[in-house]
Amino acid sequence: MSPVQQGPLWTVLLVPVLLAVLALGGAAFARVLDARADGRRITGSVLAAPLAESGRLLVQQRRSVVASDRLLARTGVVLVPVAAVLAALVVPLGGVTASDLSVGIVWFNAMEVVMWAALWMAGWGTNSVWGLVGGYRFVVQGLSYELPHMFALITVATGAGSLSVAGAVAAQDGLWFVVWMPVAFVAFLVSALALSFAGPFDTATGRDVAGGVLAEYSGVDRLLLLGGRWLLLAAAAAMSVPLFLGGGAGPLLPGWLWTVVKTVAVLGLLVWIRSRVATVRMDRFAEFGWMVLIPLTLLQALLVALVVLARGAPSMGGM
Amino acid sequence: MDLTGWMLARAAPRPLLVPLPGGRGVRLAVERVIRERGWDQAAGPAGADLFVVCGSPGPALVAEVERVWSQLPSPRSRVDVGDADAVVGELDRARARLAEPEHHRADAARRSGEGHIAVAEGGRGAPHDMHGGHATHGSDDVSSCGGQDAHGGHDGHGSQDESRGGGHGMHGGADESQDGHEVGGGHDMHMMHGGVVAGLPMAERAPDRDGLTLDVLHVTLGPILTDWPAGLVVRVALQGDVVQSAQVEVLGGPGSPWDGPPAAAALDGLARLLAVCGASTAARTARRLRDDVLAGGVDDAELRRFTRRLRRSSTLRWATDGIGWLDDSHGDLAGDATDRWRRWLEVAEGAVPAGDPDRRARVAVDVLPGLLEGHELAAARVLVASLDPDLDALVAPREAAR
Amino acid sequence: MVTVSIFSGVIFWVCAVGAVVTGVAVFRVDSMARATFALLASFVFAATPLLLLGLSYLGVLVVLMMIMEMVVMAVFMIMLMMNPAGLMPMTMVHNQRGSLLIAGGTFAVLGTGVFLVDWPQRRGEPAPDVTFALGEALMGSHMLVMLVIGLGLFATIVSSVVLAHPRGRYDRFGDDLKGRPADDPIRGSIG
Repeated sequence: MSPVQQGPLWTVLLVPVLLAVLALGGAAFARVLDARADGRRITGSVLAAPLAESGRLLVQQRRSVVASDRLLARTGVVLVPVAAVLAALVVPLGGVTASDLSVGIVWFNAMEVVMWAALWMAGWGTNSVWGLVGGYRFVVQGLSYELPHMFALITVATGAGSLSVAGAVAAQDGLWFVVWMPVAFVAFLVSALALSFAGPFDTATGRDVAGGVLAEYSGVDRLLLLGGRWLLLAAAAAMSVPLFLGGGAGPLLPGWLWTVVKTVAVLGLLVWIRSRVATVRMDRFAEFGWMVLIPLTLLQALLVALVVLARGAPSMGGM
Repeated sequence: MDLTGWMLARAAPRPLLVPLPGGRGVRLAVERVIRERGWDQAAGPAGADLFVVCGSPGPALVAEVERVWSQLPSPRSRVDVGDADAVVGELDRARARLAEPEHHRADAARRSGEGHIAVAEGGRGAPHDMHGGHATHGSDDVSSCGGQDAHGGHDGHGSQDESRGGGHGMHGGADESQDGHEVGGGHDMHMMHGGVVAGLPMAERAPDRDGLTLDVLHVTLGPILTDWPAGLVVRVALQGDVVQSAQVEVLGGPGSPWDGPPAAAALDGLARLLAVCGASTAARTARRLRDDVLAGGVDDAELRRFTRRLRRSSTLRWATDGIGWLDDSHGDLAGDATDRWRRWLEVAEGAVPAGDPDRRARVAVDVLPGLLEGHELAAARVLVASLDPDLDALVAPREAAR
Repeated sequence: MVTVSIFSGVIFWVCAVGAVVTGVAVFRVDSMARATFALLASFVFAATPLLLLGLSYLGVLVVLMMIMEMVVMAVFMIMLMMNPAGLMPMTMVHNQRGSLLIAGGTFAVLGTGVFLVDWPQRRGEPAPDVTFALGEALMGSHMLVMLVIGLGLFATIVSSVVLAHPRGRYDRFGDDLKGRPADDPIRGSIG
């Protein structure tokens, strides 16, 4: 397999487009699952529903509440999709990446942590009980998933001996990381759902608090939040491929197609989990994250570190 | 302006259902129609464009309904359904109105005229300066709004009504400081006592469970809140999102006890609980099975597959275990929330429910305040959904006795 | 090469001015939430020049850590520590005279330092991995000592939290530590 290389500058512009297509696909699949539960037939309009819904939100009026902090609220809202696209910049498509950062893995982590600030600001800024509760819930969620998530990333970096995504892909030539770091992979998928406040980790926007962070947003603000959440989920699914699933490696098909196939599979799995599982409340998840996920991911990291030591460390500092 | 209509004609509307006491039949009919058409229910007024009032609001609720209606962003459309047979026609008409530019212009004109009144009514004695704050706020908001320029005419007024704390404003409607210290929405957390900002009183402080002194926020849950028993109002004092104290009130006129199959009632309550627990797909399935039971044609094998799946769901048990424990003297409400929904599953499968709905509702309303204390907001919602008091059953005999 | 240096010069100055402006904003805004995020913006502006130096690891890490730290700090400042100022306008400055003296003094000392230090000329090429080289230059042979100190600091944090917590395991599980589920105000998922 050819190593991952920096693509020409215009590939940066391709990232948001591809990510949006992926996100729309994920949202459409979620609608299909909904329609099946409702006992409706799967028609073209079900598949087009995310697009139609985006159009509806574009022409809808924006609103805000008395004494809301609009500067913080709008900054938070805009940061959600922006951070998702920035996080996706380092994901290679086959053998080409829009941005071959030497610290791509840390970059991805930093962009996804932007979500903490973004959702908190978006929740606080509306000056509504529900928004505030939602924003605080997301911070608790962040404190519960972030450490396992970081340990999962550190495990990959240790196994690869590099912080660059290209390095992680190169290190999986032969054996995918998912095979010998299954715990890290599962922790990554859990945190992928949590960081995009989707699925069982949607307490920040839960129906029980009338939509939480979303409670006071309509129109284009709502579109940015909802769309940004799908972009994030798509970005996290895409990132799992170079980190754990060998990037573009695979027989017969070209590398970029393998990347797409694997990404779609992971995204489909995440959306399916999202529809299948009840929301995990923060009073439950905080304890689970700290008492179960952190020790398990730490053990996984230790195991991988021992393996790396045993087979002779790959050149240190050669990132 | 036709772009707006074109877009709206293509998207499925997002209805916000407002189930009122005595409106159960209408609500069931509406839920059935919107499920079959694939219209997803909104979680609050900001996400909705179709306002569906199920039943007729008595004098106790008319102000609340108007207030939540005033919080829907334009373009919006409203339908008041009083009769279950009229549901399809009314929804069709409301949907058609949603895509008509003339309707929006008229709505915007009406809004600009009525904005203040709506808030004043909704506020039920809210401090007057509140509205002052709104007016300026509303109009300057609009100038920066992209979306609505498209319809010309939506000048700013849409925003005026987001009554403070739309959050709670909406659903709970009443932040009305009756005793002078109740505060609306997000205010809490931010201030020492006694302050007034933008016409809104600030939160007070009090010692909390962990030995800290935190702000106390008074929030009203209900009467208009998604997946919430019609006519129930719970006034809670929150610190952080932990309920410190709660008072329960029942609003609304006479209703009628459930006269359909008990299995459908159990699935109805289950659907609400599942929605509150965030199990949205299971909630959809529960609603579909409920409609099948009501129509008399439920597929038994599918029903059993569904109940078996729920019994095995560990995340659902995670959501409900240990919440709202009641001892055996409480009849079929005994146990925790998990025990209660498991009993619903048995009823859904054909078991005969123990106890009558009236007594169940009475017990639920009695025990609710005590049980709510110390729970977080999320658990409090699960608790209420697991008790699922049928207040129509409660209100009917009380009115009769009067 | 010239365009690159102009480009980095522009970025540097934008970030430098941005860091100062947002830093000033911390004391000019009247809300604790805005002050917190103005401070965060200032830190992010200060982190970007690290990227220009080729210290991408440090730069990205500073951004990552500052966001987490500031959000947690916002929660504490607004909910617990002091008179929160989300809505009620509040002033962000205290003890103005003292602060001005300290700030002015520090600025003068550092500013003089810039001109007094005999800055070395570059000899040879920068190391391929600047972060790694910087770590070695700073720590060198003291790496082990630093690691032990790091562990010691972490252990101190954990143990002081454990000691400060009003409820221990005997409160949760009873005197024989056998009570299950634990007696907590709010039940978790493990027991």
